[in-house]
Amino acid sequence: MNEGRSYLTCLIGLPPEGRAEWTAILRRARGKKDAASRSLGGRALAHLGRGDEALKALDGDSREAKAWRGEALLLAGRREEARLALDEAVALSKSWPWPRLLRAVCRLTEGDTDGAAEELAALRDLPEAVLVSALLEGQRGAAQSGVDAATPELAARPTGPLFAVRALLKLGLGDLPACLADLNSAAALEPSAWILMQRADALNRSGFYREGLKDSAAAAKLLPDSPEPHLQAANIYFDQAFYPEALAEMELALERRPDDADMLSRRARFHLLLGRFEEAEKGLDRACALAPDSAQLRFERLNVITMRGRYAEVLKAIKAGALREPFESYLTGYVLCRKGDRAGAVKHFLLAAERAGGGFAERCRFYALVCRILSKAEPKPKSRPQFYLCGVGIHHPYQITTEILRALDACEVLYNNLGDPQVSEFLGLFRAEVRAVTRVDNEPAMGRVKRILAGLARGKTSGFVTRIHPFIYRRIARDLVTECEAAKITFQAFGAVSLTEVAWSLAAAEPDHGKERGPFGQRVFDLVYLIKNPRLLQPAHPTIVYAIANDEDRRTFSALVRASYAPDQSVFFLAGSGDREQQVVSAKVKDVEEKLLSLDLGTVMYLPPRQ
Amino acid sequence: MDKLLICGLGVRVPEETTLESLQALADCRVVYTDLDDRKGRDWLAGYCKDLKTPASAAAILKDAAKGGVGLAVWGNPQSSSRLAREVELGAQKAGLAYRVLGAISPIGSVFARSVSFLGGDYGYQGIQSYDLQTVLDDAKAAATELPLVLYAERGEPAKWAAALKRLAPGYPAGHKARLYAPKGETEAALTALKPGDRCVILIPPAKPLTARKTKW
Repeated sequence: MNEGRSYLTCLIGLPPEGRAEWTAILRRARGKKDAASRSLGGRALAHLGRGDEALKALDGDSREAKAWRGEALLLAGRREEARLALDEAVALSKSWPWPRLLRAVCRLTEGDTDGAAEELAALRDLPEAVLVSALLEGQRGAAQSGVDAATPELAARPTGPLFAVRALLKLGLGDLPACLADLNSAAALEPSAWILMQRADALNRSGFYREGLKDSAAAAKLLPDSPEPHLQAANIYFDQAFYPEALAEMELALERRPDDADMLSRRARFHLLLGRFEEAEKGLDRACALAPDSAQLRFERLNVITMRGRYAEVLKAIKAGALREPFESYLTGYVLCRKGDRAGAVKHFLLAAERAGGGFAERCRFYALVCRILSKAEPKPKSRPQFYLCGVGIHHPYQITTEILRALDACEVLYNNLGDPQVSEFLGLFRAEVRAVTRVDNEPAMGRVKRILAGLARGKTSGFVTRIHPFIYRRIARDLVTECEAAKITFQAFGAVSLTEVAWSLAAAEPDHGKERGPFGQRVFDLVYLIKNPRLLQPAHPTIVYAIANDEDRRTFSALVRASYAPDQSVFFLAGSGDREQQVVSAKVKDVEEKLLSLDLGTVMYLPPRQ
Repeated sequence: MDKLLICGLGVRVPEETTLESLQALADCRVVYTDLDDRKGRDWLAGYCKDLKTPASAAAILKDAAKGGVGLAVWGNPQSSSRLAREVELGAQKAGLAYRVLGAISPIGSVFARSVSFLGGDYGYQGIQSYDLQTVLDDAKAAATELPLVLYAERGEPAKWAAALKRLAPGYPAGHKARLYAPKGETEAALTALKPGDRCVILIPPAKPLTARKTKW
């Protein structure tokens, strides 16, 4: 057993691995009465999750007893006490590195990067110190420095954890392929649960969610008592809109930690999305009983009761002081909006916004605006289509248009194609029944469409809500249109903000955009089409390129860009995974290939007019 | 902190205005707009603290130095508004922090109304959009191989006629296009269309574009 390896467990917050090894150590230590064996046995207990017994065993005065006591306290999240024990261990032996390393970890987990750096300065020759230093740089926002620190050590003494740490730093630099390559190296050297879970996350981000799920499952086998791998699998399934599978994994996580109020709350969110309100309420009843002081859980529970239409009960609970501001005003506004009293809801949402901050205040102000618009009567259309196709932009739901807002308000059923909890909550403002568009494993793309249309009730207006613009790189919307036409279902689509407009407008305000603006207009291309028709690229015109293409095509396109624009001109990228972030990154034309190859499939490029 | 916000209201105001833009404009101390459309302007005034018609781009920039200024224009600011461009370049020159919010472009608007698609192995693989004046100024701006979205907030019938007459020879005789006007939509041969203010036309390519074959 590498005695320095435990620091990782303290850093990553996962249960310790190597149960068999620690169990054997514990068995060996049990028969002996000397101080060293007693300390080692105590350490093993801590790593086997028996923290209280460990602390009892680690009551000696030796440097080992103090250091491993600090480690056990750190594993239990008792950082202040851990620091005191580690200080004592360091005082007993200044040259022994492990208490100093653990103290650096302790400081790092507290966010004290300067303190951690001070500790690590004395441990430069220790491979584990290199790893913690690299993580420290990442925490400081200097991911490249972390990569630079880890790289020579990896060449000299490659280890799985250090490859994994460099992978995380590369992820921070936006280089997903390099991150995955490092995680593959890490897993080949040491397929620990932590490394497998990191790779699962990276694979999911890269669009290879099935491979990611395999890693989560392998991690679950290594940590059979831990909920974390199941929680990760639940989140991956959720991201990919496999909601029943996500719920099943969440149940497995809860089996392993049934009294975890946070997980119960998360499961309730899954239930809510699936329209299983009764189960959501039951789960939150239990969560509230487990954490009676949690205002957040009380709010979530009342929110579910609102969704179940028991408005009087919610208002009564609010009046009785169940919630604090700004949630009191917010939920009052939400109830009034659902009841149809939009004008009444406005003032409550504005009050909540005044008393809140950050994103929640923004949401409250947005809901106030929604209610304000809907409170103004509009002439009713002579007829309505049976089906609306609605895109809610990138910064959803904020980029919704006023006509889509009114369409949603007229619907009796809404099909939600977004897993974003903010969208689910937003759709709850309307009177419609909201149904999540669930994916089914191995089902052809048309399967979802057929299920949606099979559920349409005659004479009832329904809406389909999706991200960005429904007709721009959205096969599901095209399939819906095809099926609606075949089944003679009347439909209407609305314009929406797409990646085209967002990439262009964000780049225009960037300092390296330059002054050139070109003619009033633009050309928009699919990358593969453009490389086959290069004459259509007009560098004097603003140009948007959807870069959904393999590496070979991306390289060909990069060569076309290099041949058409000046090497130092900036071009801009809006990564598809940057959904809602509304941030572009730039690169010089001469570096375009490297940048483009590092970005995900959904990337959109904006090429400003030639400067 | 941004001193100036530039917002597009979409091709059809207020229907295509995003709530993100409306909220941002409602928060501004003063909003300048050059919208001609009375209905859209009155609607916007109902949400803004102070709605003004700008005397010039310079006047907007002068006021923006104090902060809290919004500029609301028809369509998408980059696609169509000369005022927005002048203000944007002026802000850049003056080192004034500004932001442009995403707004529905004429392409986004016309795709929804015409049920056209971009991408995949079923949609257009490329498209171009230009404002009326751009096509009048440069006859070679548009390529007939690509679908063309042509638009104007202020579209004098004579200018439209001149542009369409200029474009027609590049397409087969009788090539049909679709006009989206505030009062409704029509389909007709290019030179038979009668567009005016706040109109958008979708002209299909002279020859159908080949579909993409996805290869991975």
